[in-house]
Amino acid sequence: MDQFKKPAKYKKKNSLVGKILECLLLAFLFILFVLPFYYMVISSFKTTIEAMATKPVFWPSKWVFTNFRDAWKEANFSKYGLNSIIISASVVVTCLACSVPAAFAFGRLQFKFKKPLFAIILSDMMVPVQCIFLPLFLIFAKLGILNTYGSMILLFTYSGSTIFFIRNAFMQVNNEVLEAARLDGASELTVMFKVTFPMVKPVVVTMALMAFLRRWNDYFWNLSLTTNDKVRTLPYAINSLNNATDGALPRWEVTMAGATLLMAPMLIAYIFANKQIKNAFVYSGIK
Amino acid sequence: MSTIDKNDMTHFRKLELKQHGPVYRFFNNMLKNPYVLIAPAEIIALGTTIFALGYCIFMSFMKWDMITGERTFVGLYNYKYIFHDELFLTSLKNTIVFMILTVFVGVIFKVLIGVFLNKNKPLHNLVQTIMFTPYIIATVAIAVIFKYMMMPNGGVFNSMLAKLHLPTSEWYMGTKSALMSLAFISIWQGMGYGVLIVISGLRAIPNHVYEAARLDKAGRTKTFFKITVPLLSPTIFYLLVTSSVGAFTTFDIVAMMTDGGPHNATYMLAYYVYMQGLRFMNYGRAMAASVVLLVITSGLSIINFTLAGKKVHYQ
Repeated sequence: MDQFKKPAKYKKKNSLVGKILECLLLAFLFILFVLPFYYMVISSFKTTIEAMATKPVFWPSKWVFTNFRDAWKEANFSKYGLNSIIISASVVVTCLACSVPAAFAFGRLQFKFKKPLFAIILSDMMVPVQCIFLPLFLIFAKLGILNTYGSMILLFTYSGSTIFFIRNAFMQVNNEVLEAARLDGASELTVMFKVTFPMVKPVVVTMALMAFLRRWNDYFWNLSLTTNDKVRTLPYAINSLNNATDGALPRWEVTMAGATLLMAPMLIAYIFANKQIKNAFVYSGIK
Repeated sequence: MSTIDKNDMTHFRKLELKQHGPVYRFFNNMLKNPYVLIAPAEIIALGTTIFALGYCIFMSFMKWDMITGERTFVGLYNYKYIFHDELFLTSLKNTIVFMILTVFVGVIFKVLIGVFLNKNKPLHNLVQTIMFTPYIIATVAIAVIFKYMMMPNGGVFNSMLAKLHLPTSEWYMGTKSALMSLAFISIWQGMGYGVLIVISGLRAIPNHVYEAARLDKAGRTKTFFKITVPLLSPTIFYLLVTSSVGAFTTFDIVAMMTDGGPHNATYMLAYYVYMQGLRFMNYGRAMAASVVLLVITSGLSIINFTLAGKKVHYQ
């Protein structure tokens, strides 16, 4: 059976030229995807002169660490960063609180109008955000909840795809196990928290991560559902850093430092959990 | 099958429930009521998606006077207006060009690189993992990096091209190259995701098909076109549809890098909707334009669902 486990391979003799070409292609891809990040991080340590030099500097002659402090001040990280953390963390909580029970109901219970109700849940996967941001802006303005944390959290609380994937996980839970638990006298709450939940935990954790990621990186809703800076988050601040200048010279190194700070949490999370994160996206790819 | 039947309350469970207080029993009963469980999600979905969409379609037939706040029914006036609006037509054209660039060029590279990286060797896996990074990084960081690297004077790209004695470009600042630059960044950012999906599609192809091809002494090219591509067609099709929907709703990168410029060269549909709606306060026009967008994207999604149901490959 062993030979079937191997990935598809063409068993032709690889010539030396082929090997070299393969390595070159790998190196090219590596550079193509690493260079921008490398250049960003390196540039955030440069002096203003070096950052603006016509000949690109790949290794700064003098390492300037104060750029990060400037970026922190310039982009008002303590305010926007706090907003980012408050909103993204609350979104994870509210999203799960809203999705898991709904997914449980759609995955494990039978009830009337299940299909049309599920279609409503999936509607946000079909409707582009451009169609709903303006009505939402007008509705929120009428309700007087523009520029509140609540409105920013509310939008990311419900996500059709999250419910869809958790539902699929619930559907795969083995029924016999649940019956056995019930026969042993477990109540519905016990069944849910002690038996069903641990079985769907990996998917739920993945979805929580995705909810955080979506909200942390979001720029569009930041821009379109706020009229002032009160609840805007980091991506907005970094984008306005673009205009940071030092008299006449644009201070690219400060912008880069800001972008590095914005990216750092996600990059660190990805380095440690790249398997899980990639799996989460494979899940969402198989509809 | 998967129901929690009310009648299967056993004697033991009745006994157990008696030991708990009323609060516990209340929640325990709630958990059996599906309508309670789905209520929060349904309410938010109805409010933020269905109702908002209905409002959008309704408003696209109305003229909204911003000064008096008066709304009058104008029928198809807004649609007629936008289809005679130079800017709307430019943005529609730009969006279609952008879509063709990102979708076709993007998907071809995603499939080729996916096939190339599907070897399960450590180096290949490393490159694949690195390629995926841009997809989870905030678009604003990516926009900022490329803005810096694509500077016409002193940017990394141009100085590298100059060193190799190749013609330099204006990148996102030139009227002709701006849309191409955005398409390049968009493909670059989505590459890792596409490759990941292609690889998971390739892993699902049974190995005995390749064994048979090998026994028939089929060459690499023949195997690729006669086996890999047909068997991968559902994946390829999924990528085609999602990336074209993505292309039609591209907003962030435009707003961050070019603001639709230079000379409206990168003005795209999603950006048009945003500008008309929130900058110029032409709500009716903006919503009419967004309904056009909705028709296009849902058309693409419907094609996806019907064809995905039929399975595109012929095995």
